[in-house]
Amino acid sequence: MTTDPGTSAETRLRSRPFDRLVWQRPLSYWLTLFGPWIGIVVFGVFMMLMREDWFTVVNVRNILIQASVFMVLAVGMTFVITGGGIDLSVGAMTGATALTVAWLVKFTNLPDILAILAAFAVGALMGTINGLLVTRLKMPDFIATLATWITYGGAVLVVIEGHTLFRFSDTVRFLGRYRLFDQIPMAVIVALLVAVLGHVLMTRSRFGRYTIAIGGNRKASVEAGIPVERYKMFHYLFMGLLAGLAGVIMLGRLNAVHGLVGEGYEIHTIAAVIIGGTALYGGVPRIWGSIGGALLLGMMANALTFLGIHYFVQYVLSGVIIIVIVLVYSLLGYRQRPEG
Amino acid sequence: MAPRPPLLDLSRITKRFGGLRALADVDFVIHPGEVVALVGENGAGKSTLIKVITGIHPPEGGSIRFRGEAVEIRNRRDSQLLGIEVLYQELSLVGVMNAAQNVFLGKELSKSYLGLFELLDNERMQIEAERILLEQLGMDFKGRWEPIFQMSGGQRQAIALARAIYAKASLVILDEPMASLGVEEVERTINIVKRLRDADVAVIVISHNLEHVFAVADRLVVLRRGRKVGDAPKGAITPEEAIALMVGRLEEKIVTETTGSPDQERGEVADDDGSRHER
Repeated sequence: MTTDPGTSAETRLRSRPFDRLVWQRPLSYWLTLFGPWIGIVVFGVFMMLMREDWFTVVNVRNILIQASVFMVLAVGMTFVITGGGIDLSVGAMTGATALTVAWLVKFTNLPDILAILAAFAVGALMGTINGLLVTRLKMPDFIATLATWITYGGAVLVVIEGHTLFRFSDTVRFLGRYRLFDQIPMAVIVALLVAVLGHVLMTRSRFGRYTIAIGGNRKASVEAGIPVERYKMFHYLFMGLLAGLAGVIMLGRLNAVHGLVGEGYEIHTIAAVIIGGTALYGGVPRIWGSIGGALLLGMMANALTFLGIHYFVQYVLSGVIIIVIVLVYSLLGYRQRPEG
Repeated sequence: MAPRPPLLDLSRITKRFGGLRALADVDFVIHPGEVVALVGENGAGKSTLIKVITGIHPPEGGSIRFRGEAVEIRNRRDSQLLGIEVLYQELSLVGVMNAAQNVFLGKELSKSYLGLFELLDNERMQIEAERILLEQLGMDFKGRWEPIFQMSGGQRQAIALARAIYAKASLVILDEPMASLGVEEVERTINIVKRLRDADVAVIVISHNLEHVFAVADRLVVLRRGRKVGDAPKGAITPEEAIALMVGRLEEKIVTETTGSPDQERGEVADDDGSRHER
């Protein structure tokens, strides 16, 4: 069929452009759309009142750089979770890819740029292993990535043997440290580019559309002829590649790697995605929500340091925030996964 | 014989599951634009016959002709290529997606940008989906951007049917289409089936409810324990007879369409295509 302008369906569609703005949508919808951004504003105002020296260019930039690693990871995780999966190994993968670059630079004559590319290769490899475990060996996503989390994390410890590798060239540190016009951190630009890519993929590509379909109703997706396993595979591969990118940014920012680098990143990434309003049971993505969630968590981490509260408290707070947010969503009747 | 070949012509279909005979020498014919109701008790072989047609359970014996040509339907893909679409009682829709996304699921339209990359053409899919829903199915609905899980059973059914229409279905199989619908929605579904028939689409309706069956079907096919025991145009069979056939009080009633009169009742049966069976 071809589009024939002037037909009634098209006329009707064009004559009511504001149908999109659905004011009749429930509060929970708006909350999951803007929840993290409201949180950012409220928390930001709170911090400004608490400490006058908090809202400065330097500190805001620090927050953004710190959050950018989680933004990159959260975009990948949004795809994995929307497709009905979960990836617990992201922290270990991020650490492993950072170590890959560091190790190649320190112990081989490989040019820096190739060492960086190797991080993506290692990320893709680890993501592929995750995907194979889930699609070929039919392991539950949670179990498969729990196992690889331990495996990848352990491999890092084996390779690094308790040492710390530090001090890297400007090439290696480019993504983590370089500032455009001396002001805008490269890491933030990269994170935003990844977010835009994620948004376009999710809303305007078959990859995104099928991700939502698989997470929303796997059986219907199979019957519609979607190669479900192949797309599940792509999710983990995509996550692995983004972990590679996150690892390079992280290495550039910290200028060092040790055996436990990346630890806890999986928790923060998943937390950012959930705070962002993505349905944990799949089918409902919120790419920009994940970005906001990562930013909110970054702000909190920074604020706690600023207020002199121990870093570990952040874990407690993150947990409490997830509970509160999920509770609010469910109290408002936001159906995380409608059947069928 | 009809001037054009039947859309689907199954002849002497046999299917066993282990020692269980699910279908025995079943003949089944359907023409374009014909609505055939498939009735029978649980375990009579209705589902198995549908699965043979859709390729989910290829038959062990017998032959299948599609538009006069011998075909093999070995899997769902084969049947999809013939334009055979099934709507199960549990509709295969994605609740979190909107109507248009569901209509086009797996068959998305895309647009090329600068010849470099392709992106989904969401706007065109929206317009096309609405055109089908509105003009062919008479479905006018609010919240076209809303996920469909909030919609009624009848609306969801219309969306599933729009999928089949968009797929250029030649045969639509409806599995208990009116089982969970309200009175008004049953009416709507009956109208939709009539529209499909008018568009020359063949429709098989599986139902327990003989009242609905008689409202919508042109012809009734009754299965009992894997055998076809009844096959008659609506006018040539009464609901009472259909029930008697289903439960076995009446042995057999096959009415050929060409004569429109009872060919045989009980005993030997001859179809107009020459296939014969004894019972």
